[in-house]
Amino acid sequence: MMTTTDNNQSTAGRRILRNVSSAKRNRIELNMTISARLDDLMKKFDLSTEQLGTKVGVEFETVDCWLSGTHVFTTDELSDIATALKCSPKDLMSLATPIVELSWIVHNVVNQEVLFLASSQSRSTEGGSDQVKTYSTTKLISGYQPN
Amino acid sequence: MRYEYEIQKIDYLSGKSTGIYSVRLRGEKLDLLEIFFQENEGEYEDEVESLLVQLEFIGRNGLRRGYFKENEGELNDGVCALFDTPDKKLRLYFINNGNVNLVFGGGGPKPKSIRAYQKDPKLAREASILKQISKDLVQRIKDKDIYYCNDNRDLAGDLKNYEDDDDN
Repeated sequence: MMTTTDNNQSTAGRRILRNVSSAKRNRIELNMTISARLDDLMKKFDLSTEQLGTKVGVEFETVDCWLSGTHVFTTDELSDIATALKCSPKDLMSLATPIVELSWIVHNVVNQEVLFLASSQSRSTEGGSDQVKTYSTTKLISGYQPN
Repeated sequence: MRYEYEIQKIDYLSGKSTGIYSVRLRGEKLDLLEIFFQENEGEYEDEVESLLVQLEFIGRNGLRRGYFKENEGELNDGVCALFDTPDKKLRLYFINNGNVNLVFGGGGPKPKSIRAYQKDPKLAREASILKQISKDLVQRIKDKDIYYCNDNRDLAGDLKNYEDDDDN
């Protein structure tokens, strides 16, 4: 039998949470999102804190700090991390962006139009747990209609 | 000292990724997490706000390894600590069940003059409650008195460790 404490809607915790300013909430959530995203990418690439530190040029303690969810990232840090992980800085700021693995790419130049066909396995980290989705994507450059 | 308690779900913090629970001691009207918020919101308003936003985020998006400190007391005592951002003035203790089910107790500020929480009576008590519950949970899950459900996010079964006869 599950019991809950939400019978009293006016708990202090609920009241305080409701009154947190949007600015403060956004700041905290963004820092936690970047940490979570970094955690996901490190797992994907099987990188330890020491290894990522070496790639970025910082000590592993700094990487631990990044993963804490409390660190306030600078744009330089985001840029350096993105460079090391071969992604864009904006990929670090959203949990909803799938981490796409391209299993093959076909280039076909037709009449000076370039078509990219990619079959990919997408791993979405939204929600904190890996959900593997398999789908076919076609990046439209011009004039090509995907199936 | 043997504590009598009931584990309760905190619905407004629980989300699709993580079930957030707390503990109500027998005879108390409020769970330990709510008591923690009430005790600290006066002097540590910013810090309490920070922890609440963090908890809500964790409920929605999951707990990550860097967000918390393990073995807050002794090694493998099952008690972890969450801190406010950015100054870590408050610590909030919890039991981590596979990163998807968290049982929160209380906590408080740790004076800078104290190196270990055991030296602070308030923090020591809060941690000891959770240490007992952590051990109890392991045993009660083995005995099938309590079980996980909903992708291990929720606890079900007999969440009280005492009889209802004289419940206040």
